[in-house]
Amino acid sequence: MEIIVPIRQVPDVALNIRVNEGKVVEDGVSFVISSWDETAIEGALQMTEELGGEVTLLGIGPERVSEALRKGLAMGAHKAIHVLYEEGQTDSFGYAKIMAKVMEGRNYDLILTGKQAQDTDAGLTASMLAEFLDLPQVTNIIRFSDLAVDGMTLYRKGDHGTEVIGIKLPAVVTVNDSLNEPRLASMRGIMMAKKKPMETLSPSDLGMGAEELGLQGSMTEVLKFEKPESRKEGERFEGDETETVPMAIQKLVSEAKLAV
Amino acid sequence: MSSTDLTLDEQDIHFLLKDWLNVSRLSQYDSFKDFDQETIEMLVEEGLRFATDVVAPSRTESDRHGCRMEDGRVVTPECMKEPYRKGYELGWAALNASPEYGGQGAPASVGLAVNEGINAGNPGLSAHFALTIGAARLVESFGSEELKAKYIERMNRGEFNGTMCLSEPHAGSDVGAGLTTAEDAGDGTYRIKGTKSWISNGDTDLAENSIHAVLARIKGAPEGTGGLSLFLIPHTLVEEDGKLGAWNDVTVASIENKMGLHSSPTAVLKFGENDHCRGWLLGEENRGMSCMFQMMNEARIGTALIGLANGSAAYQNALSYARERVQGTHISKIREPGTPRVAIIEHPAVRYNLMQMKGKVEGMRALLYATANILDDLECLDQEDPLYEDSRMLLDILTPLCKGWCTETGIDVVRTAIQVLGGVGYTKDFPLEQMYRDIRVSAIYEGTTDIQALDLVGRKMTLQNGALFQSLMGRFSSNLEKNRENPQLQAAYQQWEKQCETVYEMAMASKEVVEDRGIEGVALYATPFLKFLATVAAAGFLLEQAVIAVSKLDQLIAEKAVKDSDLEAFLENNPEARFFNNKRITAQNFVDTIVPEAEALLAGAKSRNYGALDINF
Repeated sequence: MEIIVPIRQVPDVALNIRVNEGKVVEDGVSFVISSWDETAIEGALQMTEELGGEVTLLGIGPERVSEALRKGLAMGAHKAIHVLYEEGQTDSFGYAKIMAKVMEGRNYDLILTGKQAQDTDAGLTASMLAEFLDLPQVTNIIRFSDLAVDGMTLYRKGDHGTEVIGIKLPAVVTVNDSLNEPRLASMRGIMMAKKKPMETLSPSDLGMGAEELGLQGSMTEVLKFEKPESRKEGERFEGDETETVPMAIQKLVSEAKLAV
Repeated sequence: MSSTDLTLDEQDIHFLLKDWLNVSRLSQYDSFKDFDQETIEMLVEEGLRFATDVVAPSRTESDRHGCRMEDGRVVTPECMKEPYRKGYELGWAALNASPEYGGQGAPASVGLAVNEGINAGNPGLSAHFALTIGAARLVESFGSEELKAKYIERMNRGEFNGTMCLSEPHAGSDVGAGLTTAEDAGDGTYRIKGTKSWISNGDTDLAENSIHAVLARIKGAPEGTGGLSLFLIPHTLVEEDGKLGAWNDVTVASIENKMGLHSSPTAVLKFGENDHCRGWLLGEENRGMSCMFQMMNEARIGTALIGLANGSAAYQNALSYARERVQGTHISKIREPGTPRVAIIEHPAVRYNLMQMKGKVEGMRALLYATANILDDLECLDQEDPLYEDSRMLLDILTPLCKGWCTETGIDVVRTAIQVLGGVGYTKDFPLEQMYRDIRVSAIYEGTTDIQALDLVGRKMTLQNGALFQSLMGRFSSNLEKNRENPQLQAAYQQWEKQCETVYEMAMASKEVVEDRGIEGVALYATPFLKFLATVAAAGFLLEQAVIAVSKLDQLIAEKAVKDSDLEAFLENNPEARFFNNKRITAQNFVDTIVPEAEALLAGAKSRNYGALDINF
């Protein structure tokens, strides 16, 4: 089974992300593979371990994206494609178009990726890619079974239950992080990663002109980022409850405008 | 960052490996040809991730449950099993072991970085990994081909556990008084009889078998350490086909009921109670102590790491807590009504404690990583290269400094961290009380601090007519010559130069002390001298780092075209700039406050006070 896993490199959300003049400050930020995409890599590795075949990673972005691809290779993926892309702001539509171009002429049975990216939380790219490629799609899977090279059964998480869906391949599938626990890279995996093939392409290699890239190739534009206000310090009322409860209610009515 | 979870200072670790030590330069040598910068960075990142995600979750539980004896064998806490298995499966447990025998062959400095995380995550588990590698390396250095083939790879895979057995009930620091005997059985093996105590990980259910490296005296051999030989003794015999055979008459008599480090069982082992314990000689007869020193020196660096790893983790927890905990108003506004309360990090006394911890942690890291880097040089350099001999001498003199100072300082840092947290730091709701218990033994085992000090003043300082000490002073001199005019660090270098001179004067004065009061006069102040010399060495390394940091900060300011008026905001908002600036402040603070504190311990030596020798207790 040949699986392509598009991955996105995002700022490490464990760190304090700073915003300045409406933009995320990238200085000093470390980048990681979006966690849902790590789940997709693990899922793809499990599938190829069962059926054979190879996992190819696809990353789009500046030079630093190659680090994320190397990490995926260290986890066990077989090869990687890096579209070296410095165009700045690009929306899901723009990225899906680039991915569709990369897929042209390639042999694959499945495109498996995270249900959304950790930075934008948009969750649109995979669905748009499926449309561009005219492929069936299933999103947000939490399990797969009956694995075969021409199809499988997928379990899709919904708000009130789980949909069980049979799908024919090739297809686009996105994963929920409860699908699996991504493996950690082993030392041997890291040492082998740099020997694995990484194909580097530019947008022009894909035959894409300026009008298809960056904001020109996007349908939406992020005007600015804002950080949520930090929570105010709580207030403690000292005394027994006959005193403190009325004090708290008074405060809720006067400051939080709670109707009683 | 959290006041309870494990946080590692990855930024400082990467700075040391890349910008200060340039570890990737080792890739020019065959031994480390695959370790380029990108690979080293990924190894350290992923190794530390293993530490935080897999190892650290076992820390508290393994302390609460501890190891126990069941049917004469040690049972380790259940939570240790998964991180132990994954450590070997992923390759982090045998990072530095020889690739020829299934290890990963990474440079010592890279291994140290990953082990800093693993040790902070669970020092007992880290001890399992480190002792097994050390024992495997003894077999590699001194074992026959048959022993190598039979044991090393299985030890590097974690199937077999490794130990070092020196102490006996009546022979602790005085190893030469050991009573364990060995008698030639005439079939290439020796019959071993005796009791060994304080054996870290002396038995475990994490591995299938335990392989003990044991010092014993062959019948008729001289008394003292010169008559000790080194033996490999498996708990269970290993057959020719690799299968486990009969029990080798090694009895686990008991495990100690300790203050901390409950995830590492400390055993009393009895060899040959039934007269059928077989041992295999490692190295030559009566050369056991010098063979064992290979493992002891590695273990001393490994034990020093406990000080750094746990000190650093405690500092990170305290720093996080100080940022979160709101208490009291700012001291400058204490009389202004309605002044809001502030996080305790705003209080000068708390800042003093945090600064002390930060300086000491970075000083420990500098000393240890520099030492590991020397180990790497020794691995790569030709023995005929003059740098080889210089590096070997530096390693020899730095080893007791690392062990003695880093363990004592780590304990001090954890103590200060508890002070920052106040009452809650004393509770089991936070990890610091456990760290305080766990770390305490580091200044005791693998040679107490005082033993390290005696090794320093009684042996290392005098060896080869003081050549080792001169080698260290030579490193200080070249640092001074190269950097003393650095405009941003001139004051710090001036201060440090005086401290280096004091070191030299104190060392030279030891001859007079011997004349005046005999060798016990020197021994009396050996430990304060070790602490002072170690802080001076750490200060020198921190200053070298500061020179690099100020240069990088200048580059960054130029690249970003930061105006003077915007500098404060730039240092606040750019994490890299803030890190570089803090390196300068930390180095200056270290020479101004931490080295003088250690120097003050020598006041008695300077005034030639021998009260401790004169008093009639």
